[in-house]
Amino acid sequence: MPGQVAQMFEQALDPLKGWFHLSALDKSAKLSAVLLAAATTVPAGRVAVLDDNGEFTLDRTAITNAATAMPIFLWNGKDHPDVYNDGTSPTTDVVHWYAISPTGVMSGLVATGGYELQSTEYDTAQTYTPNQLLTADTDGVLSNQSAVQFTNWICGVCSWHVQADNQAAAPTGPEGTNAHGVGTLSFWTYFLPASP
Amino acid sequence: MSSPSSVQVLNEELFVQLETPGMEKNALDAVNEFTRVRVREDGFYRKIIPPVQVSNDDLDRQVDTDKPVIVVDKEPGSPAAISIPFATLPINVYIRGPRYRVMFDRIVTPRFVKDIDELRTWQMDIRQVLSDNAIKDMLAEEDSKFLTAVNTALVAADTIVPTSGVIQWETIFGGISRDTCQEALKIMPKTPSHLEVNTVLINNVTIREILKWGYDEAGGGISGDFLKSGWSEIDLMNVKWVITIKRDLVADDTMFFFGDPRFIGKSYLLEDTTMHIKREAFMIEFFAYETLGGSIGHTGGIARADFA
Repeated sequence: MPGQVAQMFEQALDPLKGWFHLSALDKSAKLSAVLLAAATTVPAGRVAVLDDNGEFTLDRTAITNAATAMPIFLWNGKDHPDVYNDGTSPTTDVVHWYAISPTGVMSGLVATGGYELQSTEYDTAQTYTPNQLLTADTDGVLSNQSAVQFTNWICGVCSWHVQADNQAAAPTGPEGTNAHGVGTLSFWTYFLPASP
Repeated sequence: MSSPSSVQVLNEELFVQLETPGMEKNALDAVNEFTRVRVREDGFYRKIIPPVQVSNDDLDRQVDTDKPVIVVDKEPGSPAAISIPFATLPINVYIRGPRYRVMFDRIVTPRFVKDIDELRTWQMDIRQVLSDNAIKDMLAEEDSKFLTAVNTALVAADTIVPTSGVIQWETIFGGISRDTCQEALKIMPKTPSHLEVNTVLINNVTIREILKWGYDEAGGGISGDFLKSGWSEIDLMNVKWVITIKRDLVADDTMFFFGDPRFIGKSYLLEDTTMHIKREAFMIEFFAYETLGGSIGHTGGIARADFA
């Protein structure tokens, strides 16, 4: 939309280690119809789970097996051109075209796949330290709050910031600004279900 | 059909190409040639909106993404002409018009993996069978996405389509007769776009309702041909008929109607069906993929009838 341009790296997931190869453990599924139709944003880098219909959703508390839901880190955002081509005008709700493709299918990296990732989608109000456990809120935003081992749903372990601009100060933890000037959190994917 | 000896030759040739450094491309080309022909023959989506091959030069660059997008201009609406007395000037219309986007995604088959020493024991061309099935799956995915978009655009049976203000998916009672077919063919011209039907999509079971037409409905020549030869590729009622076996997509007693492809939308092929094939030590792997994009830019070019 003119005047509201977001760059492609502002909300993104960067696989630092463990991807790409043809056997990489990724998962593709359609985004939940509720999220697809709504104005809700679903950016790349968020943590999704499969809902009871086998579709991606961000709010794991709304699904049957919330405590054991496998974390999946979204490679695509809902607004990516290879995910969804919405022909509905946000101004008038008039549908100007119907996309034959794409149809809302997204892709993500599964937390048990052995990756080190870097995401722009984390709670920037917190301070992160290496080897700290991470969870995600109902919008799929990473956080170290309420991330207690054997109690909460854990989806990652903080690593150490990389990919900083070569003129930037040395990183001081998992959080940092990447070479695009965007704040990111670096972590290893890890899955520990919440206690029943 | 390939003879066992020719199949063996094909397999041996494939092995030779794969075993020769730098010859993987040739093996890939050999398979590609075959698969592209199958795609053109089998998918009804490509028969209804033939995809246009595009290249990098055809893509429209976007600021917020590096993913391929093509922006298509659409014919603008124009205010009606009016009668005015002499010495009166026309009203002003500042020119604006709609556009729509075509975006792309990839259709990919599973990656087939096999130990080559197990492959040697097949007397049939297992590689060809698997690639045939894989291509059919890709075509089914194309067709499924296309009809999903069509059904979404048509909203629901006997419901007004917001973009045209008329019903474009009608339930027609009385079975499939000459009369009811003509009623169905009226749906599209009744829209504000006044388009005539160019193509009818019907499944292989429902077409037999038309083959039942006797002398009184089809005339002696056609009804005799139906009885003698069954359905053949003919233009009936001045429209092209595309028959599919995909009854999960095109239900029995249903017909989809499509206008000239230029009045429906765009289908672009960024990368046609390509077979990736690779041998690593004693393991062989292959999968097919394609990059295709399409949008329905005008709902006046589609309609549907459910016969009851």
